[in-house]
Amino acid sequence: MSPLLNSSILFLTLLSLTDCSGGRHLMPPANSIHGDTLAIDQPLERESSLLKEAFNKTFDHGLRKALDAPRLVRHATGQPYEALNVDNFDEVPNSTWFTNRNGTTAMSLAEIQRGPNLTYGPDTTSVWTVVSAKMAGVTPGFTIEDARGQRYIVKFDPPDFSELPSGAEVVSARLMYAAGYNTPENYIAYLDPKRLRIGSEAMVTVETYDKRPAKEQRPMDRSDLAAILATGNPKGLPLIRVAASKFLDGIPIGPWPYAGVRKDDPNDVYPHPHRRELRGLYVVAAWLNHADMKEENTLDVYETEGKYVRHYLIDFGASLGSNSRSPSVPRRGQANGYDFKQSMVRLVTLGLYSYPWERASQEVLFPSVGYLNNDLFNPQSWKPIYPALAFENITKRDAFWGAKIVTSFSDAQIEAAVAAGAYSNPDAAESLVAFLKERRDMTGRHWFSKVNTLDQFRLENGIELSAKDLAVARGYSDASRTSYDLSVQAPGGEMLRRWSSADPSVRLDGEWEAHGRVIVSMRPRRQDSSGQPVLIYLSRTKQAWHVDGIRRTD
Amino acid sequence: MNQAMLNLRNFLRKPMVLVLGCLMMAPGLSLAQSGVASDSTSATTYPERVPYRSRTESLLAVPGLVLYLPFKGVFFVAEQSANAIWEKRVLDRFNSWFTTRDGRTGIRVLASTTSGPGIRLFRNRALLEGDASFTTQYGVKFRQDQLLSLDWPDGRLVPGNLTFTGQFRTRTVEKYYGIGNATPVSAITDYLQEDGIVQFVYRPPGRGGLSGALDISYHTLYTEGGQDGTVPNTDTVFSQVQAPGLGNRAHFLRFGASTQLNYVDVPGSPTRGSLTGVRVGYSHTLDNEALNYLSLSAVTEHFTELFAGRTISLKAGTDWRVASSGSNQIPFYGLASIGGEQVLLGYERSRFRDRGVVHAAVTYRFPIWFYWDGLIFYERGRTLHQPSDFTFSGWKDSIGGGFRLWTREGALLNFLVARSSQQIRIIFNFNSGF
Repeated sequence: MSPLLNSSILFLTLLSLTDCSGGRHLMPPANSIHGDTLAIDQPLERESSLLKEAFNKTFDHGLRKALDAPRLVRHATGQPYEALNVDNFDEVPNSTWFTNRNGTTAMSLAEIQRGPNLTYGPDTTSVWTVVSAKMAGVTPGFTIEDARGQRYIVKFDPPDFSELPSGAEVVSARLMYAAGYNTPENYIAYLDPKRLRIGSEAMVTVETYDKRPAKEQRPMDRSDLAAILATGNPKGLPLIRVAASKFLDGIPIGPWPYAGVRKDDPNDVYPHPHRRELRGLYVVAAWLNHADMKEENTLDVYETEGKYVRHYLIDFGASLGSNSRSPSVPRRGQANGYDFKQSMVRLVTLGLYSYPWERASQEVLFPSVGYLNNDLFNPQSWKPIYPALAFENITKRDAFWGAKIVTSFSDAQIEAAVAAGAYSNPDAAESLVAFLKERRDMTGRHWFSKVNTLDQFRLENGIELSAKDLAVARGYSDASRTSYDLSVQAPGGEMLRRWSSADPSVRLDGEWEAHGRVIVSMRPRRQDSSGQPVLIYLSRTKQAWHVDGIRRTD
Repeated sequence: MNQAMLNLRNFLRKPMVLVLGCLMMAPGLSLAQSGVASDSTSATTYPERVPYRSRTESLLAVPGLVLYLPFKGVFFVAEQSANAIWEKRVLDRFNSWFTTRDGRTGIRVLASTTSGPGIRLFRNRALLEGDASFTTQYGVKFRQDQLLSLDWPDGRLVPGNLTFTGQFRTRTVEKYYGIGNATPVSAITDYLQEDGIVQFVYRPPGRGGLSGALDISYHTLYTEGGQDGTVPNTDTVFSQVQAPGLGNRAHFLRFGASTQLNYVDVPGSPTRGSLTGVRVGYSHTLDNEALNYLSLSAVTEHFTELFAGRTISLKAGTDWRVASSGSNQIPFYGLASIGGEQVLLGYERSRFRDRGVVHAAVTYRFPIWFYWDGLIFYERGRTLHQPSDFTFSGWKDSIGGGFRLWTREGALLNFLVARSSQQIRIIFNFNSGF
């Protein structure tokens, strides 16, 4: 491209950006969020290819981003594309993707421990009927139906790492659910091999290796069951600990895509890379070290009653300190599955440059919880195995939203979630609790230092506007070293008052009522914060002031 | 609106199509109308898909999209290929087409710059429960190999691994530059060599460690120099005086015993440990006993991990021929040689010959990603007529580097570029693992 064309593009891009910034801060946000529970026809089942996904995410999307001039200009000028589905208070309304839970109202310990579970798990008092089995793939397992007619996917722990993936599955699912995401009901159950019965129509999927086709299904027999049990229970224990994941109600229609939208779901109107809950998921996933964020670990379910699609996260066996069949490794969270940048750096430097994760040793204190080490953890540079557009689009506001959720978990809540993992060694459970607490605090300290941490704006007695400084409230900053820059502007831009205070609160002056609307600006001032003001828009009706919305300028 | 219309509308909303549509079509095209579903939900009005940026920005992104399109084509092909291999399992299916249903018998493809393309025919649990394979490779220029191998893994026949190998090898165009370290490139001629080799290798039980081998081989050699007009016969080089053993056809037997000490951590990509091999042999000429000789070779390679998988290997070796008859002659085809295959990769195969060779190499290997390594090597070597000729001058150098894909068991693919004062050579080798 000629320099002239380049310049033209840059100019036009800058021009296009200016039309959305001038004077808009004087107007309250007017976001209209579409609901997503309108009745729709059942979408077709969507198939996902892991390799295609990895290829697209690693190469295709990377180049597209690099050649997207408006996006580059926005990033260079600090005006990235903000999430689309936030309300006037920069929050995510409840939807088929996300439900506000612990982030807005603290859940009880019992609720945390129970998570999405509605029962006590598969009925272990009677026979389990095997309805299908899988001998291919990373984890052998089968699907059973209990005496109550409920179906569960049953997965075994690896013999050398008992409790590792099953514990990670349950603990991460509890925390992810409490964070607000949809997860299946997961249980730790104890399987009695003697109570297993092969269903009359049970089929087994086997990997045929070098025959044709690559995978095939055939009727299941005792030898198949024996082979799976031999893998899952080589020691021949009378009771086998398993992770049992209950079938979701509704019709599964395949994974949801990380890019674009699901085109056959008319309710799915926000491009997924621009959904706040998916961008903010980066922060939650980093906390849980859930790097295995691939499409296969998501699921859309068509709810036959309401006739709409609900979006789930599934399969957390490779999170926390687990790599599913073995402990996690230092590389996890530090590099993508194929990390183009890191491989090129190694190539260009002829391997003389090494990344810290390459030099870290994999020390596993307790096999049941795997590799737990936060020495290399950085909440902002954490990487999933497969790059995700939503994660790469994350802005400070998205990260703050995610960090608010992560830091909303108290020590006791984390302990309650870990208790759901039913670890037999209390020291192992304690090390997992310590791991999660440390990561939570690292997450809070990191992201809260980059944004304005004022939140939970309240208007008391109609005239007292106050906010909670989450960095102070959650112990990441010292209240005595924090002051707040406050100001009040008239709708036309006229400055009505400007002052500093030790509290983030404003008493609304009666003189301001004549303006009808005012804009209150609040900004914490402390050494470890680089946050920009948050604007609170208030309007006056006959009787009282109302908060119309907020705008974060980070 | 039916599903087809919905799909069409989604297609029209794509930025590229949107821009082209705006430019080429009537401005009245409405893309903002609300969508409705079909069938049972036909009465429902759904919200519009929410764009994440303005139309102006979408328009400004078009030049980038145009630049991206050629890459998209490349990505598409690469993605489809990778998808075919991984998801559709084309290689597995390809293999399955050439494998019997019981998985015991099949054919695999091979290729390398040194041995050319070829195939491997295998039969598992064949003779005495051993795994048999027959490999035939047709070198592009100079070499044809037929290799029959019978492998009895640990315990099937004896404790430990036992391998029997029978090989028939034809080097159709073997180049001979003369004897010594200073032979000029112009002084080359060709000859044909056919070798029949029988070998037993025994590896005691356990990982790595000690293994031994016995070998016996029959060789027949046909010499016809100067048959190529571009490579004229050079009498001074290719004469009975300069090239002992020269004749229309020579026949000889070779017997050998070798041992190997293998103490490396990862056979496919060692980072620690060492590999040492020693071989003692005797060559008995059937036509002229005056040309009998003994051979002794040794090579050792030590691997040291510098840090995080970055590994230096130091390799040194020597190879000697000692005449066992009073004539004190070694046939030219039996001389120790370096160049091309194991040492001095930047030179042609067997570029330098004499009664003895010494060589050393240092290789630096670094991981690029998982089972993808980069490597750089520097090699030195020279020929000697007798040990007392050893000096530190007159050594030949070769330098190069490249990539390799590997598994824990061995290399899958090597791609190397080697440079010497003679030429730059590109070397690749696909293992039958592909």
